Amino acid sequence: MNIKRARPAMGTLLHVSASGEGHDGIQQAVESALDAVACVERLMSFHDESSELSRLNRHAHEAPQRVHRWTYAVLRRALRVSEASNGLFDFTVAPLLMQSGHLPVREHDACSHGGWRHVRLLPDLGVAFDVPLMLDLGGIAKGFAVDVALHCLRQGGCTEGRVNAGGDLRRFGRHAEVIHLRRAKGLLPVAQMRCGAVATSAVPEAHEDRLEQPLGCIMDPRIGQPWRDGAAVMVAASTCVMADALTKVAALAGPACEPLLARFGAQAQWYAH
Amino acid sequence: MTLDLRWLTPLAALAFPVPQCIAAQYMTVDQARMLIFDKAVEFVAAPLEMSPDQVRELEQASGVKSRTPKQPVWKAMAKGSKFLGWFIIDQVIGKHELITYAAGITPEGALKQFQVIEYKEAWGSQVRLLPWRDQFVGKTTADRLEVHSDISNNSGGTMSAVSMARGIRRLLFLQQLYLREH
Repeated sequence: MNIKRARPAMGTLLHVSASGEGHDGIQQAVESALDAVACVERLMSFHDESSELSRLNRHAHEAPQRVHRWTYAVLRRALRVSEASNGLFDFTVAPLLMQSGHLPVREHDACSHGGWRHVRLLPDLGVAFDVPLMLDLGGIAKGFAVDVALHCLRQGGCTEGRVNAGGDLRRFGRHAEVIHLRRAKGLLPVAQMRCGAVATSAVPEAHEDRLEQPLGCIMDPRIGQPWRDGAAVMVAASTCVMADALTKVAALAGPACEPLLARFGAQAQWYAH
Repeated sequence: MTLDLRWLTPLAALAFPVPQCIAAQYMTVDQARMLIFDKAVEFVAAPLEMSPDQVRELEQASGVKSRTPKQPVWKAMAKGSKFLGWFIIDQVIGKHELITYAAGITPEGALKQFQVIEYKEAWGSQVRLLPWRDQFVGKTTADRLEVHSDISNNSGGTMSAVSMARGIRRLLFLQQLYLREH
């Protein structure tokens, strides 16, 4: 029994595929996977002013805010990658992304010298900012959503499962599958994967004429400019949240960051224009 | 949590990509019907054909163009001829993708649910040249375009989901303007 579903979510079309014994159980697992992604989106969307992330951006510098355990988990991982990469992965670049038109403009008094070092995780799911900040989890939340969706498939008894959110994908099962990289001119077979996750970042030019909506960009926190070197980078890791976050590091640092990736059990491939 | 992956040889990765079409069928129209209106016992065909004036009016109201004046519509009925809502099949076209989906709209005009039925994406040849299925309803998974790959194992390049949002917006206005229970 194989069930496939697609649904618009997290600014892309989310694809879920699962196999296993018994139609109803698999269908239920797939539905719960889709619901989990919708929940992550409600919590961590920058675009939605009623999201938990928007609440943090408005109030976490005034008083500690209690958040959902998923938001807390994403922030903890984001901080780990920021710290390990010495700020190359930076989820406080929202003001720059608003300036460049990649994020909707919000009234903010985000402190210009503030950064990820000013985010504090407190006990009992508390989050506080030392100074006013604008967080954007666009570089990590999609990968996390893929992970929770895949977890739902596993829990639901599926024997094979795959979740793909616009290129952030994770799968498990008995059989290996060829993973393709989507380029402006077609698909490139780049890897064979049985279990694990991959995430890809490409410079917007690589896809510009294929898309109706502007593609996000990787902001280089060192220079305050979007990443333009190379054409694409693909990172593989055991979880999609790590693959997603580490693509930003891999894009900006290039092959020099391989030892850092290895510390997270991740690998990368870089593709030139 | 394990990573079991093998990178393919750089040579294969550098090979010029072949123009191709990828596609995925998510469900049949019948499955979409039962998922959206699980209490329905009957679907009464009520296809809509808009006049050129109506097409224009719908475009002005919704801000979205209609690809065709014809729209496959069914009335979902529960036991005892109770009207549950409208079941509509629609297709949206992005720059390179073609999405067939079903939407359920309540008698009050709210979106009940929608399901993606099929997704196609083309390289090389424009997606506009992909065979359209004006009368695709009732066709099954056996009636598929030849495909080279499934969409779900492709990484890179966020796909556009805006065309679907626009399509649903058009259907909600279509219901409001032209669909009547009796």
